[in-house]
Amino acid sequence: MGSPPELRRTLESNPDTVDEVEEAVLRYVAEAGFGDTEQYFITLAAREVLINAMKHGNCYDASKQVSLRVAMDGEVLTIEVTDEGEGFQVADIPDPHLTENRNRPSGRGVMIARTVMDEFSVEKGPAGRSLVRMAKRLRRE
Amino acid sequence: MPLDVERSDLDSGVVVLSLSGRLTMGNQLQHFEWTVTDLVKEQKNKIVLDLSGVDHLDSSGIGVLVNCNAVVRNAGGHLRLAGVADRVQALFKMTGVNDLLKTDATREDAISALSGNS
Repeated sequence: MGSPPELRRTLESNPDTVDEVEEAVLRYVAEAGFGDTEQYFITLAAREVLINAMKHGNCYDASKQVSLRVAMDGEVLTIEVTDEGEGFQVADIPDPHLTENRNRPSGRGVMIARTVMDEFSVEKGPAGRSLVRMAKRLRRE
Repeated sequence: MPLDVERSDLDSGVVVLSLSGRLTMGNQLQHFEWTVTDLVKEQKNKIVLDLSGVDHLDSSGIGVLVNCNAVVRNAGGHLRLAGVADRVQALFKMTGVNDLLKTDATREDAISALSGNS
C-alpha cells in the first residue's frame, strides 16, 4: 500500500477552523495505516499544536496564518505546524506533573503532543516564523 | 458532535451532569464551565460529571475539568467523574491530572460515593 499524498492546509488564527482540519488529519493517518488508538492521539497532537500556534504564536491575530503539513516518508509520519510568532522553548513550559502546576487551567497541550509522538521539536524559521515538527513511526502489527 | 449537557437533581442533593459530544475548546466548553460555577453558587456542590458520552477531549477540556474541580472543592464540595473512556483516562495520566480528578467506573458508583458525604 502506498503512502497517501501529503496534506497541506493554511488556516486563519481562529480555533473554529481547527475541527475541519482535525478531520482531514484523522483521515490521513487512517489511510496511512495507523491503528484506531494512534489515529486518535496523533490527531489530538495535531490539534493541540495548531491551537498552540494560533494562541501563543500568532496571538489570535487575524492577519497571521498557521500552516500545516502532514506527510508519510516510508514508515514515518511527519506533522509540521508553522506560525508567525516568536517560537517557544519546551523547557519554558510549566511541567503539569509538578504539584505547583497541577491546578493550572492551561499548559497541557504540548505535554500531550510530546508524549504521544515519537519526536517533537521547535525551530526558529526565517522571517519571524516558528516551526513545530513532530514525527511518529508506523508500527505494523 | 457538539457538547450537550443534561442536568439531573437527585433527592440526595447530588447533581449529575451528563455530558455527551466533544469536550474541546470553544464556546460550549465555556458554557459547561459556567454551568458548574452556577451550581456552586446555588450551594449545589456535590456534583457528578458523567463523561460516558464524551467521545473527544483536548487540553482545553482537561483545563476546564481541573478548574471546575478547584471551584467545587474551594466551596467545600466534591466533584467526581464517571464513565471515563480509556483514552480519556490515558490523557488524564499523561497530563498528571489523574491524581487530581476523582473518577468512578459508573455514575451509580460516583453518586453512591457522594451520597455518603455531608
